[in-house]
Amino acid sequence: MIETLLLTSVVAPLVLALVLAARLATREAIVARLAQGGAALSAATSLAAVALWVAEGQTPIVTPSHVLFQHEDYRFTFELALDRNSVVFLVLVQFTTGIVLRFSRFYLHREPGFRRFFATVLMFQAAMCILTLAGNLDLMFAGWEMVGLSSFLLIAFYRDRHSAVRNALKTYSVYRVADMGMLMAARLAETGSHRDLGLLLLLAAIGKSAQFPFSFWVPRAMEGPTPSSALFYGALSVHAGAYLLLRTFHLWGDVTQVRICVGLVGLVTAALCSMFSRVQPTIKAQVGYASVTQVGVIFVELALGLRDLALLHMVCNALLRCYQLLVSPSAVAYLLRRQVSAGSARPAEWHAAHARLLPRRWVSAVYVFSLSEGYLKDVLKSALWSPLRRLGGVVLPWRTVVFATGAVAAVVVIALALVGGNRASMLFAWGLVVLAFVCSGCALGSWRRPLYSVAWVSGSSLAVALAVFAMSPAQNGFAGISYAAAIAIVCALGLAGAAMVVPPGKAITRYAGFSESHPAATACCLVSALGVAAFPLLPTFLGEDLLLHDALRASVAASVLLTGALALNGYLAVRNFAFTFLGQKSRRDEAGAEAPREFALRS
Amino acid sequence: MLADAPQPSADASGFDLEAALARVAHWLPTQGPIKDFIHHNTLHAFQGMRFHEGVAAAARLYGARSSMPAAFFLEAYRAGRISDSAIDRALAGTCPDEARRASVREALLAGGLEAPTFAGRARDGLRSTWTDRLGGVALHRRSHLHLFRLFGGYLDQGLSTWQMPGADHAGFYDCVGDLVRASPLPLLPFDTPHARALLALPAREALLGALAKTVGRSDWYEPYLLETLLAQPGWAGLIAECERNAGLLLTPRRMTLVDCIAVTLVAEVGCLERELGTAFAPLSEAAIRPPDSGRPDASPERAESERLLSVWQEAFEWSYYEAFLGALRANTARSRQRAPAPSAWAVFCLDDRSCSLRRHLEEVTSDVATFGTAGFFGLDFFYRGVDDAVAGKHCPAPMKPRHLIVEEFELLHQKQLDRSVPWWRRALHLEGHANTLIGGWVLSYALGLGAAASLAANIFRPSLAPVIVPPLSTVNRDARFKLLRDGDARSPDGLWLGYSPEELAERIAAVLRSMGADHDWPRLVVLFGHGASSVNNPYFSAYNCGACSGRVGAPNARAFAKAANDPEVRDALRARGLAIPDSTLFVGALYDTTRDEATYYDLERLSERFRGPLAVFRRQFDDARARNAAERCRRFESVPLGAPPKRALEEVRRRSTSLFEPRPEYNHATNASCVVGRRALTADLFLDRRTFLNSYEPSADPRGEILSHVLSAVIPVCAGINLEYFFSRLDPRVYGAGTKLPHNVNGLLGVCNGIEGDLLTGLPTQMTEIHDPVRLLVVVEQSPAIALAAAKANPAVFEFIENEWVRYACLDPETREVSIFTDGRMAKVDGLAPPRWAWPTSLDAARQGRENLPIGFVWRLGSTPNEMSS
Repeated sequence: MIETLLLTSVVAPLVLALVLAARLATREAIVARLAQGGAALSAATSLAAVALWVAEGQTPIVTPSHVLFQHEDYRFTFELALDRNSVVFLVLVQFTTGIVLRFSRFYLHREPGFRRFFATVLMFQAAMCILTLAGNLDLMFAGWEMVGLSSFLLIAFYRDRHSAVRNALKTYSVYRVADMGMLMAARLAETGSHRDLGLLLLLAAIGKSAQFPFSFWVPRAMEGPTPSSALFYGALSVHAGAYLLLRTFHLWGDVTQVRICVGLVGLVTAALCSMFSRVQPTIKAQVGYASVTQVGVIFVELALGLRDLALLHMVCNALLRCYQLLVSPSAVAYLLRRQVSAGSARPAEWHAAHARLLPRRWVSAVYVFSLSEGYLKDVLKSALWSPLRRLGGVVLPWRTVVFATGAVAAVVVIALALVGGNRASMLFAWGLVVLAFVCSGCALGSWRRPLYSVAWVSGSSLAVALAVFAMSPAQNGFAGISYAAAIAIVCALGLAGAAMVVPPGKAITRYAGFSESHPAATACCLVSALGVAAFPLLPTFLGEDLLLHDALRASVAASVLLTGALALNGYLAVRNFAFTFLGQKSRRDEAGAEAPREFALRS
Repeated sequence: MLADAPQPSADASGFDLEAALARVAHWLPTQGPIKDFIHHNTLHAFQGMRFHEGVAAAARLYGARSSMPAAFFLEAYRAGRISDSAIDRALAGTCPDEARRASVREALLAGGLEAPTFAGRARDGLRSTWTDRLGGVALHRRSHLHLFRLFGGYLDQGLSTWQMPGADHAGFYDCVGDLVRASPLPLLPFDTPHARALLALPAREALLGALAKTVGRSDWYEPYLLETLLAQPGWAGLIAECERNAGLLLTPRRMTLVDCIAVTLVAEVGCLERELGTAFAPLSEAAIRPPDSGRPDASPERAESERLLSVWQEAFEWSYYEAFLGALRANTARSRQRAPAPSAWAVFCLDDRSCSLRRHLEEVTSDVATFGTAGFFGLDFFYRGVDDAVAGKHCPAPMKPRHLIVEEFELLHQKQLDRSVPWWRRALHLEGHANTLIGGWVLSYALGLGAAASLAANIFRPSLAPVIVPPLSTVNRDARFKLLRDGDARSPDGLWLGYSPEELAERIAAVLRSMGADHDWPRLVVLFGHGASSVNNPYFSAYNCGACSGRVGAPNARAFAKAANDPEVRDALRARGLAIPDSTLFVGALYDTTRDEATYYDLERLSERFRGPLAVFRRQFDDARARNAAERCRRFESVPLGAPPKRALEEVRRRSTSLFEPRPEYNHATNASCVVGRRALTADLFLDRRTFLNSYEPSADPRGEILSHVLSAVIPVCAGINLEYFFSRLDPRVYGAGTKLPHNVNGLLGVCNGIEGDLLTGLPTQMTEIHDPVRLLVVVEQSPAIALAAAKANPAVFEFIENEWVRYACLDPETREVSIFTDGRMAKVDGLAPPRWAWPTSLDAARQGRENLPIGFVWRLGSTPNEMSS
């Protein structure tokens, strides 16, 4: 019974999200009714399940596991777990989503992206339910990925706006780092040591919960409609990382080193972000950083093993920040009035008066450090992103060579497989891993030509598949082949979409904004990008999992690199999509057509 | 001027910075902090040009649309909202060659017209070279990230908890310079060699040095400065505006445009150095296209499609004008009388929202006469309420008041009023300490669940939830202010503390006479100032009274009533020939346009003989305001058409307290016309809520002096509102603030998108979406000669009329002929037809649909529509 209820609460919003995404309903009233119906059904079934669980004695239960996919010793199972933590978080998820959906039903009235908004929020709701209830890390990762992608879609909700799209990509790039940790952790869940597992989970949690050093993305993500910011960055999305750590406490709680790391990360984040929050001149950035500060404290509580306190803190913080963001437009009226009727000095003046007692050097340094948000963004950019971009610049001129190498390698691997010998050496596989990165570099450098860029990303993914194919034992080529096949389909879709808007020879400017004029191509390329990013409802998701499963047996180091390549490709695919379809068509490019005749009108 | 500048003189000596800045600042938006949102002509800088040319020139400068798209007009034509006769009138005005009119008409209707689009100088000019050299990303995309947080941090009015060190005493440029020098940590992008060196110089030298480094040719400096500021119009405009009007900021800051530009240019040097290396070539060596150094207000070369679209625009306007003028003329012909001696007068602001309210009041009773005048009621003063830190201006924006009125609590009430806000609500509502590490930790436990409850309560039962800012009607009823001055008392900044009886009498007499309300006194004269209560709305000030500079008009109404009841003032009035009998009482009131509620002031010591009449009036008015709410609700899709008044009243109240409602009311949307004349001209006409109504008695003004005085308040206020809506609707992205949903409050100064966006100017789409972009048609009830002379008497007013930023018409009270101002004269308008529609009551009209309705007659309750069958 509980299982059916929980399953309904996951499936209902997902089905309705797909219905809306497929444009099966377009009129505002109908869209709103469907969305609210789906969300309400999900909430009702969740609450019913929780009530049953409470009535049945509140013992942690795991629903019987269904094997959704099995190949040799790889199994993808579906099981939902209900214990104290997931019950509390589930109620939080349903309450905030329900409130925000109802809020948005009025708030977004007459907004052009009404349907798109509700489709994405429903997808988010389903994803959060999966993430909350998942009985294993594989399933949790599915929810995790969907949360990330729905986040991207809502930050870039105003897709014609440059900064919205840019910040959506920035957020997504951090999410990809978190995904790497989660993906590896899911694969290692049964075999890996608790220390490795703990650190991987921490990496995942850091990215998702905007902990040090990734804190900068939260305020920048406040580009969508206010309710979506409240739901994602005030309430649920930022707490997903902390929730992950809470749920997996039994996996890492016994390793002191991991606990120290978790505590340190939390402590540093709390200290830094509370400083950043104080200097922000915009209300949403202030609340965003305040929320992250408290998530830092939650990390510390987790590290200390205060799990119940952490859970309570999570719930309270989520609700408070959600509320604060929803009422943030009131700031002008409220704060000006307060300042005046309180008659006292503003906090800023109070601080300024005290700051004068300190040496000017310190005060300035602290202010500059806080205003620059600890240089986190700049340091990460030059340490992680710029080398990649440089790689792109270096390898692009050699693209013919890269292409030839790839082709030859593919032929060799396939030939060897056909001959049936002991396929290739590990060294050869390593070469393919490098090739995968080089192809990604080419994709990075060739964004001006979407067709090529999509092709290079696909090439890189194929190289990963080949590498796994090459490094697994002779009789086991299934993972590589199936992933390659899935990628080929997805890639074909992407190429078709790109070809529809930009002919092979033509270049685009960044954020060319073709979504307005080419909805069909946009849909094709979006699905393709989601495919490369291994969206859970698409076959590439399983392919990716299988691939890593095989790779791990051959070499841990290689599989870490392969995870990196897969994460990077997912990001690049989404970036290609954003560069081509999002943004605003440049007004300079489209000169208006002139009327054919002269009419001698008075000027 | 710019075009004549001497050609290459590589040194800066030939460049006059001050003069250049003054010229450049002229093209920036003039919007102050959002707390006093004052409607003004968005394209005020172009007002010296003819309307269509000005709009075209502005489109080229800012990269905006120069016209609604042809599809908009074609659809309006198909839907019958543009009539064939209106197209004829538009053609007659724009196409002198009669033989060609048929072919123009064909071209209009053929479709396929496309308006040219413009990138704007910020993207299309010199700076596009940087875009190319930076790999397709505009330079400002990099520099704004750093600049805006400095602007915001420095100017912040109380949002952030730590203020920028030195912000309270140093100017902006010095403050940033000190910060960079004092801090051992680098402040990006000022960490490059040249940027650092420039920042060591005084602002002016740094500015010129940065120009030399980036541009390199002094004759290109001015266009480059213009382009740079146009790339950040929101901040640049606000800064220029705050420099001009020192009192705009509650927390004073020494911000000047020079400082703003200096920091901007040095930051851009820093960005360029990081991207292109320290020895990057200036534009003089590398520009891919020369700057557009022509004057922005030079007549642009307009494409044929643009001209055709302006014909469409005129036809669109004429479709409304024609019906409107026809209705006024037909109504004049009937000119029915009201009850001979009404027992009450209700005086409203000329606001278009009063248009329906007055109609409903007259429908409910024939015993009340209504008047309209600019909502500051002739009393121009600064006002400091008990909740205000500084005094605000309560009169139209161009006026400079010399009086200050201070509101205080009476001792009696002080005890009863607990004005402190409980700590938990302060923390919940965005005050700093919930956002700190420890404070937030403790408070999130304490408040998290409370926040959830509060939110749920507001979402399901908005009326019950505690809202952040209380509705207007509950504010300050218990406070008093002193209107009459003690001797020569002045405030520290030299304003008179209150008025003398003489001064009051002069102002009151002027207002009453201009309305023709100076004889046959009734029992009661109720004056309604207006304001709007809304929650979760940074634009709250734009909903208030435009004639009170975006403030609530209640103090003015209250002051007027107080003064007119004062025996001393009445004596002074009598000396001026205006004898108000003792049997007449003035009452000041506040009308909340969002909630459709009225609050009456100073009734505690009301004498017994007025209680009865007042109770009657209030009953009638309650009926009228509920009907008004019902009419307003036809625009809200969430309310079924034809909802009964009681339900509508609940609906509008709910809106005003709903956190999730981005449209508490539609404000001035759909405004299109203004009548300065007797009520008989407009009474019994269903003009929707599109008309500003100012009472005026033509027979008492044979020389047009009163008219001229009235126009000097009416035209700037109404045209400002109309044109702001016009342009925000025309291009919501450039002239408007775009959709309101993602807005983020920045420094309590304005709103921006995300945390990195520029401040947004203009109105959000939620306020303008139902607005039809039509220039205001001002109709005065006067003969053409007097009307023209009165308009010409005030150059600031005549500028709007002469260049057709408003259309100016008159209806001769003697001959009932209508003329409209065209090419310097009043041209007679022929062929006007009376309205074809009539409804028993306004509510019947309101049931017809949600769109703009045609103009028609409505009949008072009880009378029969028999004479209109023709």
